[in-house]
Amino acid sequence: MKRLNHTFAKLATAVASASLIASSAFAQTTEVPFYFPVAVGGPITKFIDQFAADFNKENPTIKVSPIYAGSYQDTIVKALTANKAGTPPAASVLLSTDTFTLIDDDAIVPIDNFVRTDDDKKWLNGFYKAFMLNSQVGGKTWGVPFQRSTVVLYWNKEAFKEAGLDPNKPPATWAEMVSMAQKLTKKDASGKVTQYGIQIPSSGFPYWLFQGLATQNEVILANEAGTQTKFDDPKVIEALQFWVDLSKKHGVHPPGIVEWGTTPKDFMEKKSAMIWTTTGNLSNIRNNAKFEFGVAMLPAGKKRGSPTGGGNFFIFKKATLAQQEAAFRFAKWLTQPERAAQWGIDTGYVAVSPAAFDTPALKKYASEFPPATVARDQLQFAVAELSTHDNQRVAKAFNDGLQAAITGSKTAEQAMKDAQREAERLLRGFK
Amino acid sequence: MSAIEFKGVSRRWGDVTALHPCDLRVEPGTFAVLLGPSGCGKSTTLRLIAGLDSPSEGAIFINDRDVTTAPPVLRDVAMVFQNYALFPHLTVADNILFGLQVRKTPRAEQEERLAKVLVIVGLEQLSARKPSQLSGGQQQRVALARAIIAQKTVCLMDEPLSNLDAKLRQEMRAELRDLQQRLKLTVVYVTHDQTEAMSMADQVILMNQGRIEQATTPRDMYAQPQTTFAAKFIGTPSMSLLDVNNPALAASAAFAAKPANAATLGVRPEDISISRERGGAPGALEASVVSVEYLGADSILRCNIGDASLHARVLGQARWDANTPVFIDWPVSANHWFDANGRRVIV
Amino acid sequence: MDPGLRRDDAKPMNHQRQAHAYLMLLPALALLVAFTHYPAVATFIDSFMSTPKGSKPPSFVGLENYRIMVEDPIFWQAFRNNLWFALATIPLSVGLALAMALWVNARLSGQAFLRMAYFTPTVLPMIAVANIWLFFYTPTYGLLEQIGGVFGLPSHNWLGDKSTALGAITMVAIWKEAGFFMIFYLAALQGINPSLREAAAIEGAGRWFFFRRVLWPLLMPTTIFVLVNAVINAFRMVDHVVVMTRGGPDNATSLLLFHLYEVGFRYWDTGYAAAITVVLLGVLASVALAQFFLMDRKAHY
Repeated sequence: MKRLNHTFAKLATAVASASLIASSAFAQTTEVPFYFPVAVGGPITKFIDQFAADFNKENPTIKVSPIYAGSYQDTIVKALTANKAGTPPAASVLLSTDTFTLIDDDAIVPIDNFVRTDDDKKWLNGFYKAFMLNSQVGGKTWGVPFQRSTVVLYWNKEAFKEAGLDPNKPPATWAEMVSMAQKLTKKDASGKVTQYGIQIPSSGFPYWLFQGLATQNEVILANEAGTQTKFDDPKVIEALQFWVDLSKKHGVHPPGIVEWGTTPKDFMEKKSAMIWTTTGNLSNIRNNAKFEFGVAMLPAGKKRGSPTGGGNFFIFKKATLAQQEAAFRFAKWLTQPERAAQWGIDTGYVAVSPAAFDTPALKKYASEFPPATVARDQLQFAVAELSTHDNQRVAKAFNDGLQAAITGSKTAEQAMKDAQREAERLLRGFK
Repeated sequence: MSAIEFKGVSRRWGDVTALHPCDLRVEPGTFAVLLGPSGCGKSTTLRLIAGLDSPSEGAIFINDRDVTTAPPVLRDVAMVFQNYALFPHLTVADNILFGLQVRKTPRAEQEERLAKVLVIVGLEQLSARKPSQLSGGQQQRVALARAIIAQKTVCLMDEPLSNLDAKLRQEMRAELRDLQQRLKLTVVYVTHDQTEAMSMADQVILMNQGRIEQATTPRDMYAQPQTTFAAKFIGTPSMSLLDVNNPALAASAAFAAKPANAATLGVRPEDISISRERGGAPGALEASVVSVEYLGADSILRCNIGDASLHARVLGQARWDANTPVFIDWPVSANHWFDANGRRVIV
Repeated sequence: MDPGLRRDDAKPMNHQRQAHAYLMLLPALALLVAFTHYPAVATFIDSFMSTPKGSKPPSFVGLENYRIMVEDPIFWQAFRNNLWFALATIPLSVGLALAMALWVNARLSGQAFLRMAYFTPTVLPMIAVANIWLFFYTPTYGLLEQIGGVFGLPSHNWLGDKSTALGAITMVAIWKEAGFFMIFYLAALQGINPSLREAAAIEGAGRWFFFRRVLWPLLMPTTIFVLVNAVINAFRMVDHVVVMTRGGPDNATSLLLFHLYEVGFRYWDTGYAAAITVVLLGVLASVALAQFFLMDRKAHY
């Protein structure tokens, strides 16, 4: 049986496991192989290596070895193949939405196992509630929020001025967003659009951005147990129709699928006056935009709303108890307010606890650069990122439906009904 | 009428001149050989005739028609390449018929002509083979057949025998010459082998450094070399060239007839008589044998007269040893005089 | 020497030699078995087993995974896409490669530069190529858009439109492949005796006749080699899909290998992934075999 498990995974893990075997040979100190992904720009590896070095110095009996494992997708592939081969890392940063997949694969242990002292409890309760939504399943906490983000709106103040709008007043509602976008959409003599009013990327993982629209339309896409989706809810269809209409009806949004990766560039090239994207792009846009811009909460439909996103810190089940304990200590150490604050300043991720925002460093940074706090302020309206059992497949069915509607090959209603049918088929084994 | 004529034809590539402006005539039905060392311009000349290259200046006529700018196919020429240029994927028959197929000759006529040509070159049994299944000599015949079947009046051959072994080469020489006579072809044949040229040609066109040194019959070329280059190139061993100002030679009787502007004296080895005693030749020169090359019917001696050196051909039976002191003489009629520019001095 | 003695002598020699030969082959053989044969066989077996979930071990499920495949609309979409992709990339990239090679071969000066220019797409990693083309295709300010703008063409979202995304992806593959195949054709052309062309010219053969009757047959071994590669590549190229569209919009650019990757490494459905792998391997093996047998007879080596 084991052999069958192995065959599929063997090649991919050869390199990774070799390094693990080598490093676990030293018995006195506890080795903690730690996989981490790099999903945004900036010298992330340098910061992580520094954290590990500092932690190892303070804890001579523990040796955390950070292993850069590629994108989020690469990292989970490596972590899960290593796990199937019996040699997982002790800990890894993975998408918070992969929690169900990790539980179903029996790959991780709850964080609660290690929470014993009052100090531990205080620490675990210290995170923003919005970030814990994706970390807790069935009354247990499975992941520690670490590099978390949310969707925000960036707007070009110059373009607002040119269009006769108040450059300091971003849209607060859907209606405002549409009317402002209409004023911001510019065409050349031949009728070709040279600047769109608004752009919401739809390649790769459109469900994440759409979740903003859905939440604003007062609908939650899946239940907390991750066994039931509501893709064909009329409010979901309505929210999708709004997205489709931005291009089809109002002509203020580029037609077809909009690439996630080029969206910040579109904004900086003034091809789009407003964009929705992750807070993780803040440093990138701040460094490269040649005009004044603002960062705002997403506009409200029936209410405000945005999904959270990004990665949690997970501890693997097949690691030794000593490794798990050491990994827990590392996770706790990493998320102490000062470090969380510094991490947020360095990367653009949202610092994970209110205490971090109260640190002098982050306070000073926020006063110099107010957009840094927008994401935090939006957290009160934030919902869990869509996550279910067999998450990738369900999300894929949903993404396909969203893209089908956006490209016009299906109506919003048809697309969502098909997606729901597929999701129900996929989830029937988990009820 | 001439089969091929060059009027002031030259070929240059930038600063490099492959062929200096030259005139040339080849009569119909004759076998002309372009002879010379490698790089002398003989292949360039052939390619200019074929139309594979075009002249920098001058005009080329074939059968009195100006073909200077005509493509190869309109020049009424066939060609045999040095490496045969056979199509490796086609059978012998298809290789030979290639040109007829290009010209869409009727099938029946193709068959008929193919059969005839195969007999001529003796490849009747091998028509279905691929070139790689043939010997070098057989491949050569295929190339020849491909040139013959075209029934062009002019056939160009670029060192066609150079890839064959010595014996086969000799056989093929006779065969080629015979074929040319029978089919009344005008052949222009490129070679660097003077024996080949002398034995086959009606007209030898000797080339050197992009210029035509001399163009005449083999006999005339041998008897009356017009330049020291021609004198050295034709004949084995070649004509001995002696500096007329060499004091060691002053005593020779042959020098009595020296023209005023002569700088070099040439003597063919076979014109030299050699003896152990001065005997009845008062003008004979004292010399010594340096080396002996025994060839059977005759031997080639290299002799030194003072610091001058010359070759002599003697009968093979006579025994000569190195370091033997000898007396050398030749008749005045054997003298070839050349001026300081290497041109023949007419006496 | 006595011939009988020689025969006796030769026997132990031969054994020793054979042992020697097998010893020499052993490292390569071990690698092949470990990394090619064993995984292939194991994958075949896995395709009849269920996907292990957590602590639940895999069990024999017969043709269940293949039934899932037949009923999986995305598999069929990927299959159709891949067929279309193959039918477009193979002839176009090979044809373009041949045309470029003939063109470059005919030009003596500047050949090195030309060769390099055409070969560049090949040495660039596919990821880099895909990123370059991502820029070409970007709406509003991409290269295609700018060129189109000069001629007053309307804006188009090439990768974001279901009707053009697959074509756009195909273009990238053709561009990348053609340069690679050109090098093989160019090498083959340079190996052809130049006097063949002259001999044909003397006979009055036009370019087309010469190509059809001489060059094409002589290039046949190269063409077979290139075709086999093109077919395999058509089912093997996936990097540019990952970079440019991730199979979207709505699976319009999903190819078999991409679907396989998603099933295997995103959904962790290893049983089903094994079944797709078996089908993909089957398709490739039969195409390659058919090509060798059918075209080998026509080729002149």
